[in-house]
Amino acid sequence: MDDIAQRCIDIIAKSKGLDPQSISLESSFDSLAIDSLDKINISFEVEEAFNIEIPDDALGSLKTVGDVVDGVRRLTSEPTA
Amino acid sequence: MRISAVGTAYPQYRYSQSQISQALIERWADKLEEPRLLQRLHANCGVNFRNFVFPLEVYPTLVGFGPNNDAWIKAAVELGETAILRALDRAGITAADISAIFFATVTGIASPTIDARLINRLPFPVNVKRTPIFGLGCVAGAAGIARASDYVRAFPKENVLLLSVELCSLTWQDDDQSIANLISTGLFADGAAAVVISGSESPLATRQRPAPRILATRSTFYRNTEKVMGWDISSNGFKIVLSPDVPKVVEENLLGNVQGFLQDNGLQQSDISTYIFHSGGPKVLEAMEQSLSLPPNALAPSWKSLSEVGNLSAASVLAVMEDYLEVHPGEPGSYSILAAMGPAFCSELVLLQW
Repeated sequence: MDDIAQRCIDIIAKSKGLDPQSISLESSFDSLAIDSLDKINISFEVEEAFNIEIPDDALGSLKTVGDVVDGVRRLTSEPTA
Repeated sequence: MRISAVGTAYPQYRYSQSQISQALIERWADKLEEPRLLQRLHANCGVNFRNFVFPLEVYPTLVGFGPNNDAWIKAAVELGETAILRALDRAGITAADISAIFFATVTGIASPTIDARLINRLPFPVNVKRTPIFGLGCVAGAAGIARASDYVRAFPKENVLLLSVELCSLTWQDDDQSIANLISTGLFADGAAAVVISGSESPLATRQRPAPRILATRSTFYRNTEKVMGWDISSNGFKIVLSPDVPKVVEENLLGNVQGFLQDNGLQQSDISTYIFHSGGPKVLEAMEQSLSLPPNALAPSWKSLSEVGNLSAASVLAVMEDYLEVHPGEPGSYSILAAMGPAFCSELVLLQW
């Protein structure tokens, strides 16, 4: 697992008080009991950690931890203005 | 008995979701700890546009329950009249042909009620029977159709009117920055809908216009779920109660309700062609889809209504019904379920045949 994936998992684990070892890229938010508000809070943490800006309306499409990691990869690879 | 026509009415001030979010962020600049939270919650409500009875800049001048409710009465009468005239026109009748009015709302109070004020404006018979309904919330659109159909079952030669007016923007609370209120201000909107329901021996029953028959209705009360949704009433008016458990309650109960209802009517879910569901919000619609294992796009008109006008509480499912009647009516003989859920918590199901 690369650095981006591990950092995302750590953020999610800390946010929900979970053991990072219990989270994989395939873990769904439903299975981790992550609701809409949790997702928003996690999005703020991820933005700060990676210095990125997640589109406000993007959260609805995020269903798994892997979706978050993919999103971070896209946003960190885009040229910044 | 049939749903003969539906007419909706929306107030003139229409805003994009981002305009509304920005206006509230400015209005609550000294109250919000994290303005991005409001913006992000609103952006994920599945709502792109909403209509309101006032320009956004007017709302901060309406302080306290009294002024908001006074504004509600005036606007509810105007919007209700427009919706009624549209529905009557589509049905090809006038107010004089209506025997009973059911009026549902949860966003303002009045006595005499809004339906009474409308009888002074429109040529309803002086003997028209009035049933104002307050407090059913989002479920009242489906419940209203059900109660109105009970009436024409008893009086099959008559036509009755269901009117729902919901002006959710006049319930915004400046001193509540809870998550529930932030979501509420991102989800709910203003609108009205009127429905003409005609008895089986009414002249409207034989018209060629698409008008689905109401075959059966089903109310289901979920015991001990009072805290899931509703209002806390304070000196400032209506303060939203909106639990994160709403989608869970929907998902846990809807399938059983639908299966039991259909079984009692000699049908099964595979007999249902279309689902005319209340546009509660993205989580509620997803829960409905999952609970009933619906195919993709089965609730597309509900999602579209949510996106274009927001959650209109009781009027939402009626707006979706209007879309079906006017744009894509069912094939003759096909079955639909019209459904809504709301405070109590509870569900109301209506079985239709086109």
